[in-house]
Amino acid sequence: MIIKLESADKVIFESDVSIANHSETIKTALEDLGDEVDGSVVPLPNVNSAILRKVLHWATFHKDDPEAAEEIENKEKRTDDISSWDADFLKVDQGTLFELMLAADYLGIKGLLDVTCKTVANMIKGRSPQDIRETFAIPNDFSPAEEEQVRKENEWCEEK
Amino acid sequence: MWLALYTPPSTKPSAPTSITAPNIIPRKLKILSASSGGRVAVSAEADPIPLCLEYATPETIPKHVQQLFEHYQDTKQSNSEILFLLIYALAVECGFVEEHVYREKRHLLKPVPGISCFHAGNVRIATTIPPVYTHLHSDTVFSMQLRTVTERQSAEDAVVAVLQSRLMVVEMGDMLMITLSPAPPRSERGYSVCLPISRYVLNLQMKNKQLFSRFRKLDNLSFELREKIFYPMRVQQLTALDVQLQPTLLGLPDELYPKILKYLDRKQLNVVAKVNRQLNSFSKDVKPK
Repeated sequence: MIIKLESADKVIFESDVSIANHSETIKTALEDLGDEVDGSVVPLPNVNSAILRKVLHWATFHKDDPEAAEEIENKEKRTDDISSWDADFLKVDQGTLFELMLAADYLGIKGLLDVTCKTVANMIKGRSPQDIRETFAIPNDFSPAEEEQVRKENEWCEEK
Repeated sequence: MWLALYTPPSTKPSAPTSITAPNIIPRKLKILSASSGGRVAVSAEADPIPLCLEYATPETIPKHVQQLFEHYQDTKQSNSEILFLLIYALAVECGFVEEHVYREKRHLLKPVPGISCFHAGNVRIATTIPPVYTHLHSDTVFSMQLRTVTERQSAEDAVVAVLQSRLMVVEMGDMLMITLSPAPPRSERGYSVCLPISRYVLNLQMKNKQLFSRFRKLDNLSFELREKIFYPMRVQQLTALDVQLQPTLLGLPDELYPKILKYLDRKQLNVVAKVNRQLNSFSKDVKPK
């Protein structure tokens, strides 16, 4: 069955229900509609068309993925398990990466949210504080005294 | 509906009314449809025309880009001027509009929230009239004033000053130096990137072919310009306006930070704690007690 999705900027996308159901938000909206699903349009006021197009592309590729199983605690920190398709899909500018993360969060698409968060975590790993500031355009807002304190606090943790 | 707002520019009777053959489907969308076995992610009325320059091919370009170039179809441009216009089309996709166009069309432009930048309706409206720009030094320098469309469409001088920037493009041999700087008197940093013209605009013009059949690697052009110029400038402007929610590492909703930081070990969290106050506090929240 085909349903219609309307982006924030009023572009209508058609998608198969099985793909749209990857989104908890859309799934809930469709359940609320009940029998009137056919021909109705689901408005998604927090996602623009450029991003929704990408999200649907991702969901289409992942349509046969098993339901996301609860992660095992000790595997949580792995970020090297991003599939090559996802890695390629996320070779985008930083703005688009964060827009995709925000869209995945709003739409309730766990798989896409996880992989965007992992990608950002990988951009942090192995970098110095100054490298991180440069990568993400973050100003250093610590006063010299605070900076000294933060340095001490975090050294202390390292030795433990 | 943006379709209702879109009025096709008048074309001469002899000119082809539709540049794009309707049966041509962009490569990427074709893959999409094939893998799903149905119609998916095809925008309004199964329109096979790409939404953004990123998905353009030598056969199809987005309507707003087509519309922009229609203003220039009776004159001949140098390759650097053509690339300059492509850069402007991309600026429009990133939420910027040339200042005169903005003044002319501001009542039609829709506000764009901080977490977004592309707006399908705005890109069409912004390209209905040609942008005003200056040519200098025998067409080797092009310059225009841009205005950023956000949620705050205030006419206060202070807000307007933040949202204005200048796009300057300088030709140096085959290279194009592209710079986007805040409008004076603001003194924040500007952003620039240098790109080879021939990578994106082919030299030969084939007979009976549309201008855009010479465009190449527009996905790469989109990436370079978004990442190095338009995204950082937009973020700088949103930050100056104190917009809280942004597509940046500092602009996310609070509940997303643990979801990113959980992938870092203790040593990496210590590094994050030293970056700034905000990340210091979020890293404390996820550290094991």
